[in-house]
Amino acid sequence: MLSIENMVAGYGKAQVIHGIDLEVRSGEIVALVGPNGAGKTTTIRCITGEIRPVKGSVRYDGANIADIPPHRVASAGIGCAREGRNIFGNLTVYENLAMGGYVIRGHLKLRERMAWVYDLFPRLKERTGQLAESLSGGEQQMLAIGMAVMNEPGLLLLDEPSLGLAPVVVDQIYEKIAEICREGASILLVEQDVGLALDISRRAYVMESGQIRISGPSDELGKDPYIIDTYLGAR
Amino acid sequence: MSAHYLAQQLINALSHGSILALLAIGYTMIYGILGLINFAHGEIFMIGAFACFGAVEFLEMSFPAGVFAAIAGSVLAGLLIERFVYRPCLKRKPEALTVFIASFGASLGLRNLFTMLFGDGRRPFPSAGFLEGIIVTESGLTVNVKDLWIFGVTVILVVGVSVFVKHTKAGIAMRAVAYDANAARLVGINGATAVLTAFLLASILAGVSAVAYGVSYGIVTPSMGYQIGLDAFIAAVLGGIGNVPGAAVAGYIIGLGEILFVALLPPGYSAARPTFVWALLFLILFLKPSGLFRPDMKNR
Amino acid sequence: MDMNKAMRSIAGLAALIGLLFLAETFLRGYYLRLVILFGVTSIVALGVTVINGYTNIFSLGFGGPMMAAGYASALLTLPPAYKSAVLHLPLWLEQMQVSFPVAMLCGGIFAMLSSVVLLLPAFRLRGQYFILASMGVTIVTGNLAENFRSFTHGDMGLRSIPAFTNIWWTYGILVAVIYCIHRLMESKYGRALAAISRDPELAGVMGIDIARYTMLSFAVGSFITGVGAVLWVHLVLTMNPKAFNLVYVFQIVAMLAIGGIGTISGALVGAGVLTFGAELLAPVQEGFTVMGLRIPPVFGLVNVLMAILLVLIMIYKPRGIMNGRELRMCRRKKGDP
Repeated sequence: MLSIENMVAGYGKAQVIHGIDLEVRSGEIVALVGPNGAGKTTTIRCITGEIRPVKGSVRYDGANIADIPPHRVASAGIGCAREGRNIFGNLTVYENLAMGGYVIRGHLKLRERMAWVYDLFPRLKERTGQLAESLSGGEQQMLAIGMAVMNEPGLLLLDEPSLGLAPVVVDQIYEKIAEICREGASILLVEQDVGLALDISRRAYVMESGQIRISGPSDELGKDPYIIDTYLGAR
Repeated sequence: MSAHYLAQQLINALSHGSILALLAIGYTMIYGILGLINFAHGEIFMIGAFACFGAVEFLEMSFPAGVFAAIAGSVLAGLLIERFVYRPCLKRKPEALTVFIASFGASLGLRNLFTMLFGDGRRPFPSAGFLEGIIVTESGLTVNVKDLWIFGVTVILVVGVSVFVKHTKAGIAMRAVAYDANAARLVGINGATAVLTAFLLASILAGVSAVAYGVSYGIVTPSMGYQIGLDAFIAAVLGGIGNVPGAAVAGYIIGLGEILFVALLPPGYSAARPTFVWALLFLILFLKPSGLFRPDMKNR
Repeated sequence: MDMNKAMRSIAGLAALIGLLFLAETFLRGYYLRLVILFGVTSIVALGVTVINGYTNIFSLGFGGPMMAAGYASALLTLPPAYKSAVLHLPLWLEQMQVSFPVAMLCGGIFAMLSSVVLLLPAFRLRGQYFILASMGVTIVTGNLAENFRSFTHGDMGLRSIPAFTNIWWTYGILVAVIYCIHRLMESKYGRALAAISRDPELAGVMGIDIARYTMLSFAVGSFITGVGAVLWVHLVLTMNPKAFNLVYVFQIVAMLAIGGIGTISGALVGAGVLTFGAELLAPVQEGFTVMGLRIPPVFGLVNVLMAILLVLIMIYKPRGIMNGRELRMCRRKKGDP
């Protein structure tokens, strides 16, 4: 589905990612974990086309998407809900979802997808006419994810969906993520809460200082002494 | 001062308010989406007026064709300015000041270019038979037919653009880009298209406004866009940046205010009209620092 | 090092004095005026740099205080006979006639006070609202000057203003202004301003009193622009409501943008480009002969070319020709801040 090979990327002269390989197969949740500043968000930005990798390839369904602009990546079937919740605060919940489905052709299809999202997050339906900036943090995260799945993406990129949310809300959100995956989307999940990420994902990559430190099936990584020492120690 | 007199002034303010309203929408949309004060908007307006003048006087087109020439002229000017000034300028992600100066340079350059080509004298603006005439109501109020036309067309356009921005997919996308261009790209909205749409709409309205100005005051000059552009920009700020109906209403408020200022005070004060407009702005800004109405496109 | 620096400064000053002397001796009429005009414009540009370049606000309102300074100086130096003939002034003002330095000081103080009074209320506005309000100050001042005929003679303007401005006054003040700004920027005050212009929020958190420093640089900058206005008035010898209008304000801001805002060199380079650039282009406008081919005159072409130049610089050199650097007489050692 998605395969990144030997990708090098950065901002201007500052190289942040020093050659990584990463793969997301059809129908699986893959976690990308690691400390702050490891290059996780930069990796996401390379996939969405916001940053052009210096070297290496980003392939989605066989086609190289490293060089195409973000607005075309979206229509290629990649949805993204980002850290900082890239929702449009000046638009209503309904309008936000409509924008999430911007690339959808046909009114019926849009209706159908919107109904699906409202089904997934009934809270959003209650708030449909409200401005997005007036929503609570959890609701904004639901909206961000809802927008990202509007276009029925084959691949969903989630960047820190638990950030700044109360544990109860995080649990709710993670249930929904699992549900989205069951509906057929592959998911690349970036998360700082390693325990949470390993629980939900099938495979995981641990990224440190712009490189993949370890990767493998999540349940094995959960037993790895290095991972337990470095990331799960508190549990 | 009677109610009758006031009502008459209200009618007299119809065209001036309309001209300002149409221009103010242009300022507010472009500021909303790009975060830049398009100083050249007054010149886009002026070029529209010259296009109409040229089409009717030299190419001997009919007046309605002249209206389309005005729109075409303004749209051409607006898109050229976007393409050759703002786009290359913004591509380098400069400071706000840089774009501001570039916009000022474009404005000055165009005004000087037209002064150089046509001189700074006044030229008579064409008119058409159906615009002439005066209606006198039973209560003795007089209404110019052309003012009714201007007001009617303006209302239709304001409502049209408001609906477009509020309810159509392209309009919502425009507001989304204004709020967060990067997030908009991630959902598949092409920011450049949204910017072009804003310039296109703003220029169309400027073209219509230019015809309204020409019909109303009967003249075209290369500097006609300067003062009225400033007034319209004030209206855009008063209306809450990005708020299309707000800009239109504020345009009428300022138009009416100016007419009343001249009408109610002794003639000696008429020349102080600019001071009045700015005083009005200061007053409103101090009472409500973000304008009369809620800003609709928040540029981050 | 310090000795060396002092020597260089003295040498630089001596060279400048020599150059000015040469200019005064050999340049006549128009060209001498042009050199003086460059000095005056530089002073104004430097004042505006202090207002706009070193703080996080952006004001287009300095035309108002300059107008105040210009009229103040004109009224204080015009002969009483002229004043009683064309104006209706209070008697004390009509009779008063002061020397040039006093008028200049009054002009500077007047500009400073009016700037603080006019723009203080605007400080609660942010971003484009402040720009708009400050623009309004310039426009309204001009409009008021048109209408307070008893003081300003309206559109007709004041004429026969005494010609006090010469090359020595201008460049003496210019050097003093550069020195003061330089010293100011190297002081604690200057570092606070630099912090504010980089990141106002952080500066506020660090305990820098932003309002106080903004106010201070506003006052200092306005004083300098006021002095510049006085020099301008006694060079051009007329004062009218359009003297420091929005177009003038934009020209000064354009100079700063061309040279690079926030530096002394930027202000000087920008003033140079706009003052002399227009002159260099003047022959184009008046028509000229190329290889026997007569190019007809095109009036107004200079303005168009200058505007195009401005736009091109903003596109290709968005931080100005100087790119935010200072020209220095002695190169700083590596590692110096």
